[in-house]
Amino acid sequence: MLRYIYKIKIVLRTPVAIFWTLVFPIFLGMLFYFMFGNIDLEQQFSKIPMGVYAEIENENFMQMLNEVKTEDDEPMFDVHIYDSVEEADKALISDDIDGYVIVREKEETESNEKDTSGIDGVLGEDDIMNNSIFSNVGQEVIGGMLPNDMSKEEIISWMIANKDLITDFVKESGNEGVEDFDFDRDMDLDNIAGQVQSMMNNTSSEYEMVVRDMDVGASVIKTFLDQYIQSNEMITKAAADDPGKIMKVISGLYGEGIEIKDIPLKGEDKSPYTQYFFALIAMTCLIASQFGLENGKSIQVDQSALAARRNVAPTPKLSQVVTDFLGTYTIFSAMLMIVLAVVVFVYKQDFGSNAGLIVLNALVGGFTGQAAGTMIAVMSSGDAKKKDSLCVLFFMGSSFLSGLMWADITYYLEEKLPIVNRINPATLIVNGFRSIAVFGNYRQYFTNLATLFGIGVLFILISAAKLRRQKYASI
Amino acid sequence: MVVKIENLVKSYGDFVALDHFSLEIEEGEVFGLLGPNGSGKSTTMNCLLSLLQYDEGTIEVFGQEMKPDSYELKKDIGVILQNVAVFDELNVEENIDYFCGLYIKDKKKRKQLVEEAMEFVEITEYRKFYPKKLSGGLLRRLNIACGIAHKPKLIILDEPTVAVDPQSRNKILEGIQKLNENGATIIYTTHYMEEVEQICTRILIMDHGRSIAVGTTDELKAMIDLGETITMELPELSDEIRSLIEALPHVIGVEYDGAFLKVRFSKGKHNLIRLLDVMKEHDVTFRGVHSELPTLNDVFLEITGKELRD
Ligand SMILES: Nc1ncnc2c1ncn2[C@@H]1O[C@H](COP(=O)(O)OP(=O)(O)OP(=O)(O)O)[C@@H](O)[C@H]1O
Ligand SMILES: [Mg+2]
Repeated sequence: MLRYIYKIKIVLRTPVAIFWTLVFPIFLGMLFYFMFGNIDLEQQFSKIPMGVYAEIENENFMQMLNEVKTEDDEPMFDVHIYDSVEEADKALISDDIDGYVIVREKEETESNEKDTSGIDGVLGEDDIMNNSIFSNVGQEVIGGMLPNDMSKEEIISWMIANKDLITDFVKESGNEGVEDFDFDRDMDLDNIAGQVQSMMNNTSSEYEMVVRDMDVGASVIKTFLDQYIQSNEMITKAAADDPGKIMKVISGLYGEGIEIKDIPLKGEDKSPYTQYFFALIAMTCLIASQFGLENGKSIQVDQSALAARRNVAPTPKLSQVVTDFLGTYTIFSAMLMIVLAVVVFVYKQDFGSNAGLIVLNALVGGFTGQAAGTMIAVMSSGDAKKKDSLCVLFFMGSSFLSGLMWADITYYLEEKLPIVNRINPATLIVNGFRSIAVFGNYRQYFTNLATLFGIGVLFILISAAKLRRQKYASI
Repeated sequence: MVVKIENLVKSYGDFVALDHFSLEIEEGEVFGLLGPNGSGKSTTMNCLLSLLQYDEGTIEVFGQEMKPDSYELKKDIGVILQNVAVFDELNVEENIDYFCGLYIKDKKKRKQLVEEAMEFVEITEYRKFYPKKLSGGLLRRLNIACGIAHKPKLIILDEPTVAVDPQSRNKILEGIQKLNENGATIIYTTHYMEEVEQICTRILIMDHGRSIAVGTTDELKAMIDLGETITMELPELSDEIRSLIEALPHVIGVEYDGAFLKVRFSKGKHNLIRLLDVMKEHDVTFRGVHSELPTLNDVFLEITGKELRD
């Protein structure tokens, strides 16, 4: 207890630590706030004017666009249809719309699915920015699909043939009022089959978004498009993996409608730039690795005279490390609360009813961040400088791989090396925020959280094992 | 036996820092470990404290093998290492309390001990000062207080007076003697001769990781064949006189710098008288004669062939 209190005193008297965990995030948040803050709430909730230029018919996409609702159940988009790109460009330049989407037939090149989600168009001198901080990866795959070439009638007869299975799935889905679901009575075969078919068809579309600059409207369009594309991709993928998953899709359609509807544009997350603040908080969590690093160093004899003095004492090293960890973690948590409070109350980011989960995710993120720092300090050999660099490398690397700097990296990883997206702490933190605030997906949130925590615990165990055995060949 | 080191071998890569080094320290001693830079003093202390791995040898403290997790033994040891080790973020009192807290859990007892430690090194009036604000001497005293507050039975000090002004140094030395009087066994590592001569009951001289000589100051001096050095003020010295002096028995060196004559003798009787006789016979006028007995420095020079640092 004594050491714990002193540790807290020590950290509080270390201006650098306070700066990075408190002042820096708040300052950065302030920049975000001033960058986006002048957008008044009125405008934010009024319809976002956007255009569509469709080379091919895509009913499903149009339907989704019109169905996206704001909090107040108003349509999110004011959709204009254009007959040519030139027309759309003109509207964009004269500021009639915030951006437009080109829908065209997908080229049959299997490999570059990810490109479809990029914002490729460039207009005028303002370069298009792709500054969506978060990636869309990690969303749960919920359904499967039939082969693309089935007709509506075929789908209907397939459904009837699988009546019992579908009934089971619907009941299992746990949606409201499904307990007394009766296939013959409740299933609107024609409607569902139509939806299924249109979903299949639109997977062969490709979307390109054109904006002038990345203002709020543009980022909302981008978010919608990302999520829409992603859901579709998942459905196609699932279909390829296991066509039998159709039941799940159908039950999903019956219960709550298509998954995309279930991604109400940013459910609780009303402000399109909240994602920037999530990035900010994720970064703050990673900064906690610095605390861990210093703790790790301060018990290693070859790092400082202080560590030597602590090693000759009759209090076991491990116990000293644990108190240090708790001490710095306490401070970190307090700082985090202040940062969050500032974000919510000063920068007016409303996390809604998910605030508690957001905080929990950040706390666990900080824990894992700090654990990572400790492990780096303990496991690496060499002088303090080298350890510092390694920690910075971890910070930058983890952030980079999570898409905090370049959003598309996560798409790329998802294809080439998905494991990275599953274990990279920064990605996990970011996805944790997104999964509730954007997707409202609690199951994913908790899976994510558990992984994040598990990784932190693993780091700690590794560090402890090493510290116990550690003897020094040279000081 | 408080400390027993036997045949300790420690190498850093190819470099052998300790070469079959042995040492025994009895209860109540102020044991001086004397050696030039890089002779292996700190390495010895770090091995003794189980901070460093070593290649061969045994180390016992209070009759038991010393290991990294010998917590019972560690309770009775106080350590002041060569580099100052205090928290910059904690003030004097807090620092002592922190380190004392690693040994003493009882709050009331610790409070008392911290007060005593501060009084002991005379730093009480600076109790609210942060280390950065302390002078070099005060900082060293704080460093010592942090190591001894828990009243250890064995105190290990590795060059605690480096870069300390003479006044603080004397305070520190007196303090160490007081600790010894109160019953603690002391191991004192230094390269300052005078300190060792002043406070140590027994001395070990080491060089190149080896123990070269052990004994009391007098025993060590007796080991070498060196008598007094006689210095006199002399306006001039002719070659004739100089060779006469050099021809005297026991003379091993004559130096003259135009004002002072310095004659070094090996052990022997009547060295001064013979020198004075030569002067008288040849009517050489001189003033201010004085004779110095050999110091530990001379002993050191004699045994190792080199000067100590500073
Ligand atoms: N970590 C290390 N790696 C390699 N060589 C080392 C290391 N630490 C010490 N040495 C070498 O071992 C020898 C003994 O060092 P040590 O610090 O024990 O000497 P010392 O007697 O305490 O000297 P000083 O009076 O300078 O404190 C020196 O030659 C030193 O260069
Ligand atoms: Mg040394």
